[in-house]
Amino acid sequence: MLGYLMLAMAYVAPVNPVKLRFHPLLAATVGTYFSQNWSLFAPTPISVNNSLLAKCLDTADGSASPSASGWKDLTTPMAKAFQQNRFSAYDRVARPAGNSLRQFMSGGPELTTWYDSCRKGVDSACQVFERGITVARRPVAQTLATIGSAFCNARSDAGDMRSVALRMRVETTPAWADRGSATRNHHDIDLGTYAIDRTVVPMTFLTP
Amino acid sequence: MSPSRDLANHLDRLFERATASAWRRTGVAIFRVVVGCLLLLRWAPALPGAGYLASLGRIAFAHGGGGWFHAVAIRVCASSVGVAGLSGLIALGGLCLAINMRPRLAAFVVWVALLIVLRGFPDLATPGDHFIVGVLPYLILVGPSGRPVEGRFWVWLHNVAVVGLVAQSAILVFLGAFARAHALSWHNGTALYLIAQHHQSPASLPVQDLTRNSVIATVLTYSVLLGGMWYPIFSALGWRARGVAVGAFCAVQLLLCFLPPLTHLSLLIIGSSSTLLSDSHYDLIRRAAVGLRRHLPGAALPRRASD
Repeated sequence: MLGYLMLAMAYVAPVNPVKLRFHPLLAATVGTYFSQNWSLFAPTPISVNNSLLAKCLDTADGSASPSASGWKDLTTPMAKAFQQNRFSAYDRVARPAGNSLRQFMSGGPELTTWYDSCRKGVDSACQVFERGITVARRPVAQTLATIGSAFCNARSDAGDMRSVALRMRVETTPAWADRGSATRNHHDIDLGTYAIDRTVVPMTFLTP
Repeated sequence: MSPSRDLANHLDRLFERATASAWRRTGVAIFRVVVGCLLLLRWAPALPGAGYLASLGRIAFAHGGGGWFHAVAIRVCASSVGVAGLSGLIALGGLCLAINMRPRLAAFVVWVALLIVLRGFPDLATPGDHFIVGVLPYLILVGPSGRPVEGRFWVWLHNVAVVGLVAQSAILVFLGAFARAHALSWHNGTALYLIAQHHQSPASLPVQDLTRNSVIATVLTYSVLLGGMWYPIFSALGWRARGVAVGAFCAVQLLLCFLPPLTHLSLLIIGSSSTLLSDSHYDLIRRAAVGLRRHLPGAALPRRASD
């Protein structure tokens, strides 16, 4: 039990020489069988709201550039529904989309501490991060495309749709000095256009 | 007396204490109910989305991974039946924990199911699930509520698990606060304002307005930070000071429950804090509650009439 406690402590601790030294052991023990992530709101709370926007297209390759209108926000309605019922599964169902968007930027929670340490100039942390981000980004696009497919497959005209365009909306929280302001700034990042996967279960459940 | 004999006597006394009676039974029972209710309420509604979630789980399956456990986990999470089965098992296990029905078996089943989720489809797990999976091994070992723990071995096992539960919770809460301690927003007292602006938090919440107030935002942010960093010390405090410290810590966490991103985590931390108090604390609370009821206007009248 003492061994488990010490390994768990080292695993969830910030990057330090002990963690660097025993990283393979920690990954093979706690990381494999007792995986824990304790980084929520630490060290810095998320100060942006990321949303996934999708638009179903009737062209296979997305050659017709998606216009500014017709985009559907897939994640914010889930968050609003979760506000109404705190003991629901809306946040759990929306979590893969939110995590994928964050993972696209930072490589995911397992790499966040390495990313932060790398930015502070720890070379060994940079090496771990570089190795991890390449692997981490590979399935992200696929996950987002699957979520987009689930959305398009649920439409009444699903048969006509052949691809889905995806965007990430980044909404920044007003700074403390502007906390009285009701307006929030946002910008969109295009994530690409993907062929619709017909085998994905339509997103008709839990629709707020 | 030689040092080795002194040590042996000390260990004898410690063993006697650890096998004499089961510790912190009320606190453990409260924690088990909190964990059970949260598991039930947070996993049962995910059942209708199993097919969609399995579609996402299939991506992890396609990319594969090392180790037999990983291979099994991603295979389970890649099928609708697997995701529905895991959600159902966790919800059912949560129900059993909440109503104290075969709690050790339920804790074991939930632990294995959560490990499969965390390994096969980690995006599905919330921060609360990460906390729960860390403390469930101890809930497998503690004695069930409602009947005495009999036999020296079972009493010893219960007490060892209680010590482990308290230590594990302390590690998690402390390291969470430790990681925050160097961040600017926690230093300058605006962290809770930022959390309240998360899009899961409705704009109309009174607590969100509170976090816009300079004094309240700062005091609340520092209370969360310092409470977390002092959490491991609570166990070492005296009886009275421990009661006050845990009460104040739980009051702050209760306020955080009103912020949706923190609701479940705060409830879990309140639940784990309940294991810091001894059974005599709960006896005092029970006596105080009974005394308070006697002083309530409506409660006292029928008693006098019958006298």
